[in-house]
Amino acid sequence: MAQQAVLSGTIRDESNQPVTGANVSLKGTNFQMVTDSLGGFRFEKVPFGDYQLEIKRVDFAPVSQPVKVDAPESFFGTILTGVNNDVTVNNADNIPTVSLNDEEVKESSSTSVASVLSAARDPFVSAATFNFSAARFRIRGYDDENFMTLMNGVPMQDLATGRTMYNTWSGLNDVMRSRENSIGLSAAPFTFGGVGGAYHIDSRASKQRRQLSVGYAASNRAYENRFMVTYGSGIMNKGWAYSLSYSRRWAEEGFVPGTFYDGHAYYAAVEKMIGDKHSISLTGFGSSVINGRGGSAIREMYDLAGTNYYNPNWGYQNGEKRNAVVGNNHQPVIILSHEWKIDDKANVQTSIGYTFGKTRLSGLDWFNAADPRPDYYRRLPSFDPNYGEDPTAYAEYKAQIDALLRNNEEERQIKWDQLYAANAMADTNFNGTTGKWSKYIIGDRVTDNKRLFANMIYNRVMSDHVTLDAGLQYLTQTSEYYREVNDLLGGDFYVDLNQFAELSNPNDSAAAQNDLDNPNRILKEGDKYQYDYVAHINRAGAWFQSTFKYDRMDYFLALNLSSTSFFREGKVRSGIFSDNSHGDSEKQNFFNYGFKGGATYKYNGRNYFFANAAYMTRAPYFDNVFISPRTRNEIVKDLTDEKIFSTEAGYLLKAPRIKGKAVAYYTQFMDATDSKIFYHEDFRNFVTYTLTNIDRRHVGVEIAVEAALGKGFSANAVAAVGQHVYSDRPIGTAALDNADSLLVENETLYMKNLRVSNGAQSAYSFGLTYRSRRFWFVNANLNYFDNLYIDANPVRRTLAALDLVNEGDALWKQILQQEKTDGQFTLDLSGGWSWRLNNKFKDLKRQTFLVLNLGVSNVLNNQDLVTGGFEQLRYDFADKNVNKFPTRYTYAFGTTFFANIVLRIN
Amino acid sequence: MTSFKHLFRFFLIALTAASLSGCVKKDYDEPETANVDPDLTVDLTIAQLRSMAVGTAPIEITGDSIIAGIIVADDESGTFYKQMIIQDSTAGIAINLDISNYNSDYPIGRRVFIKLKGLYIANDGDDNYSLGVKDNAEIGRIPAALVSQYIIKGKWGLEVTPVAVSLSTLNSNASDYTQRLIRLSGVEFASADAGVAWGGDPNSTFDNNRTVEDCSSPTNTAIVYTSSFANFANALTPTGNGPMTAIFTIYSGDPELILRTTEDVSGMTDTRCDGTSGTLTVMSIDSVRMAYTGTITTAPSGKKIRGIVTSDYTNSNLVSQNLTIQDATGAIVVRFGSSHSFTLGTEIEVNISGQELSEFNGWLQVNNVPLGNATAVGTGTVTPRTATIAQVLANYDAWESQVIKITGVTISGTGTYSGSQTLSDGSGTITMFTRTGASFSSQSYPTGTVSVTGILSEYSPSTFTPQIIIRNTSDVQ
Repeated sequence: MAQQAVLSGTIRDESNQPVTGANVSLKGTNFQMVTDSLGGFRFEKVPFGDYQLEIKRVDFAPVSQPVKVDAPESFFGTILTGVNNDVTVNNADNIPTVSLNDEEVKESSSTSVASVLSAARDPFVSAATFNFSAARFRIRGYDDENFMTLMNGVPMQDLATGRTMYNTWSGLNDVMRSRENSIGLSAAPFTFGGVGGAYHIDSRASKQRRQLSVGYAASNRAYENRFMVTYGSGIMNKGWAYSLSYSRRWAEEGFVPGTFYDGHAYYAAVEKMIGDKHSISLTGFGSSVINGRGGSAIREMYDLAGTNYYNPNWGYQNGEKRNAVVGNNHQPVIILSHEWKIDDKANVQTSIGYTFGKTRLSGLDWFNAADPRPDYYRRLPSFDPNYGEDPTAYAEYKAQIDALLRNNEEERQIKWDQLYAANAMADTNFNGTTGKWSKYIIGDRVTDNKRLFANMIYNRVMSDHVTLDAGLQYLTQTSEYYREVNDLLGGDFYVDLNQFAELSNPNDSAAAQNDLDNPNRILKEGDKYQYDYVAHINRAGAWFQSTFKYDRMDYFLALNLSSTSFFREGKVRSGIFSDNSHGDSEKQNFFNYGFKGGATYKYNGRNYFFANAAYMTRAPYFDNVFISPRTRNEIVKDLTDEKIFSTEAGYLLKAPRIKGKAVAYYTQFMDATDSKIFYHEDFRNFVTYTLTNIDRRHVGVEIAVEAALGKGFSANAVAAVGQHVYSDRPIGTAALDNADSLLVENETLYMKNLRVSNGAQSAYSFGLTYRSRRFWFVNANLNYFDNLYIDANPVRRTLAALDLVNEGDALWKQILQQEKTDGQFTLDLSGGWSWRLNNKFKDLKRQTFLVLNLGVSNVLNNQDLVTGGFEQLRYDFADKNVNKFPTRYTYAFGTTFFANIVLRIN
Repeated sequence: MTSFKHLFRFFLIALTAASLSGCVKKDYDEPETANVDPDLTVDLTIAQLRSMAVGTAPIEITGDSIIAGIIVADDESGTFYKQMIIQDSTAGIAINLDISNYNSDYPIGRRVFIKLKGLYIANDGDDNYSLGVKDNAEIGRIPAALVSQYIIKGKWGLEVTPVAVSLSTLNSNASDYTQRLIRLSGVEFASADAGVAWGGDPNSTFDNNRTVEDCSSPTNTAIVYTSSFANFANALTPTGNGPMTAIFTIYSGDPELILRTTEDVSGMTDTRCDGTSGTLTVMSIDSVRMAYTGTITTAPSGKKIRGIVTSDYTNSNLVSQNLTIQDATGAIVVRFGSSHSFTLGTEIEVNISGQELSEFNGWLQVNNVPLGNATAVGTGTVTPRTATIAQVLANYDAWESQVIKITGVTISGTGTYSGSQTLSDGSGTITMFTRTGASFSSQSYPTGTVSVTGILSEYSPSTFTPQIIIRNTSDVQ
């Protein structure tokens, strides 16, 4: 028997960055595999001899290099491919999703995972991330809380909502490139993860390439300009490494009228390697973004405005566009981490992170004044103030309103001058305070967060076959929620009174007080008002995982345990809820567990079959459990853990010229809790609608194929076909913010088999790429989106909503049915070019590159692609007219571009 | 060294970029809010406009005429809803518009110019005139989006002098004054309507009219109507005599006055026509009880009682309209016209002027008091009078309706509170009565010796039967 060796190595590009997902093979043999997230590969039982090592990836020209195997352990070291990783089809800068994250319009909507994470080399995930993001596609239809993202070992999760804090590193693309991903239910060496997968971003200084890079990008999406400068020292002589990055993004007006963008992002990191075994790193970063938001609107307004990008949030003030809904986020993060390579086989990473800062969202607020919203339903042609008593007369003035709104932009937008004029007239003497009591103000909804996260990850190779991963974590968060006066709009003061309570409780003079202990408080800009409460949340957890690798089979098993507790602390005593608004709520405690396991059958180095399954319980999130969190400590009845069962099975093909993946998944969510807050015109009051016992079933298949066609051409095809439905009837409870009795308690909601509204449930993409050996490429992708369902209004799926309607009548069906939007095509084009300046300018001492990227999304300017929509949470119980409170929609951008030029000196 | 050169460059570039890159200026300039009239020529008076309304059907105004008037009533206080009243030197008119809280744009004292073309005018048959859109045979509200097309804003902060008029002229020449701001002198509220809530019971639409009268003989009267949605609906009407400013309308042939705010009656503090003081004085509960003659008696005018609520409506052991009130001198039942929500321990004032004193099965009450006559003024506690059953029976007349505590009692009867149970303390026995509707009626009462606190009452359709009525189960300990 010939002598055999283990051959291993790492593939890196010319910037010393790992080349992940590349196909590595020994030419003329069956030895071939795909590089891991660190660019590593490993062949076992390689007979001694001379080979040609081939490295291929669809997005660069193949590289071939001779290797000699003549020792039992042939460590190949680092192979530089000469590839410039910047110029890839999937350059994160090139995707429209940068804007998507910034474009969040609904406070409550979760951020699509795809939006910020740059793609891993999983062909499906990369397609879902880049090609499908415009349609707000969500992998497997999952909400963000089903994905876990860690940064330098620390979970970047908002404990109140479960969502990932993407906005803390928005704009720092240059220094967030190093990632490890685990897709779906597969094992991750750094966390137990969610059912959607887990991501680990390594932004430590030692992971940053040695470079000085300066870039400018022009776009017409959320922002118009981006400037970015990044410096990395690389690992220096005495084991020090440091890195800095700064980016500025701005737009006077983004793609949607009235939106603007003003962002600064900064990053600084330092790391010290102490001997071979220890490294200590300190990383600090933050991203401050102030942006005017777009809003959803009803079909009638889009038609009147003549565009699907109508934005009701802005109006002219002294000839300038002013947006009333402005987001303002800045939450700096500091992470201290220590990595200890105990020996060749064991590693432990200990991290502690702290993040603090505020998120704000502004909006108009008014007291005893006319509703200033330009799309207020009573202003629209469809509303007849005289209730259809005189159809002839109505037809006439309906035409007048239609013409007025259609032909005059200012009638469709906020009339700031009118609001200032109303305040100018509002001379008052209120309990001895004289001056102008603003009728209209801008108020901010503020969340002031403080989070401390500690985490430890331990990895150990136990034997040739067994690896152990384990972790411990402790997370604590306090978030204070309050409203703050931002702008008195020319008035002198505002008063902390609750006009809704005053209306509903005319006999009770205390009812109008938001803060009984400081009644009739006079407010100036910067003062808190209306509500003020704190979420106190703690979570401690531990996980443990074993992976077993054998010749033909790999297995893993993982276990997760956690304990969560939270309570609400009311900072003000409200007039209507004087006995349960102030002080601490009952403390809620949850103990949760999860199991995960899977097996992979390695038929050969090219064909893999795998199956994974998980069962876990999850504590409900603070934001979803209070009957009316802004006013009281009361918690929804029968609060329970959410249970999730998920399983997936698939086939993986890793052939030299073709890579493919096909996965089927089945996930059942049970007993979830969710809440929505909305303004109810009839009650002239805010209503919190809490749903419990939400069961959802997500089933579907994901298929992705990438093939090298030769001569620099490659093609990819991706399909995601899902069916995400409510699998049982949820239970609804609704409370007015300002009345003690519940509007609805434990009402059955007839939503079984309705679809979950989570973007397109089916998405397809076909792409062609040509990649020249001369470091340029062009790419075209045709996408098709279908099965996007509008968010169903639970109020409409109740017995009360169907009262007196005969089962099976047309009306019965109309009330219960759910709208599906039309399928739509989009076409995206992109290209890039990298120029090594040293070839031309010989006296340059260091490797210097000029990199150009251009992406044009939605080239055919399809403006009818609905990205989301929701039925308003209102219902016309009297007439059962489902069109009385029409659906609000949002649309994907039309044609947009992103052009980026970067000068990089290594 | 090159690293440091790069580092230096980094800062240089970053600083330059930060300072040069387009800054997004978002400090908004405050708009001018000039207090001026528009450049419009008024070619019609409101009186001329009113004369165009012939018959009661809405008439479309086809000419390009413009009227101007000053707003004399808006919706700020809630007495007017989706209707404003404007007035020029000749007359006034109502405008119906579909905006709630329109006062932010169109407050009292603002001049508005109305482009009349396309609007409709009508006389509602009572000689009230209004402008708006057509709504069959009536004047509908101008749709919100169109309001600014018809109503052009002018100067604000203007004063309108109300038209001085007497009640007798209002009665004789009513139609000359409709939709105008008028001022009456020397008027007062009829004694049953003085010192009571303007809008009365918010749950009732039948309690919104108050009669105002003058000192002539026979008196001239008019109705003052206040919507239950008015923000002063629960405040009390003035009890004195003096001037009143109001908007005048006619309702079903009768003159009707509508206040804008309580400022309109702030001068009504003079001595009344009958010479009594213009303010309500507190009468002790004991003297109210003394005033009862044995048959239905009318309480004196100008009087209110003030005391602590000793019943607990939340447990429903009294009917929902009733409460007991106790002061230092005694206690009495107040029976309202509708259900109340005054909690145990609330200090209240009840205007009893001209109200009925009568017995219900022997139990004395101030009967059928409009809920608006009572207002909460504070909180307080009443210490129960501790006595033996024999003492209670001996002093029944003096102690009726007061809170009594009897110690060393055993309860006997059916086992649960509901209905009549017997209390014994050795000195005698007395009935403890619990309504079936009381929240605790089906609970079992304690066995053994307890103390019982309750309201001393009687239920004597035929024979005198004193009863103890507990408020809640903590009254039995």
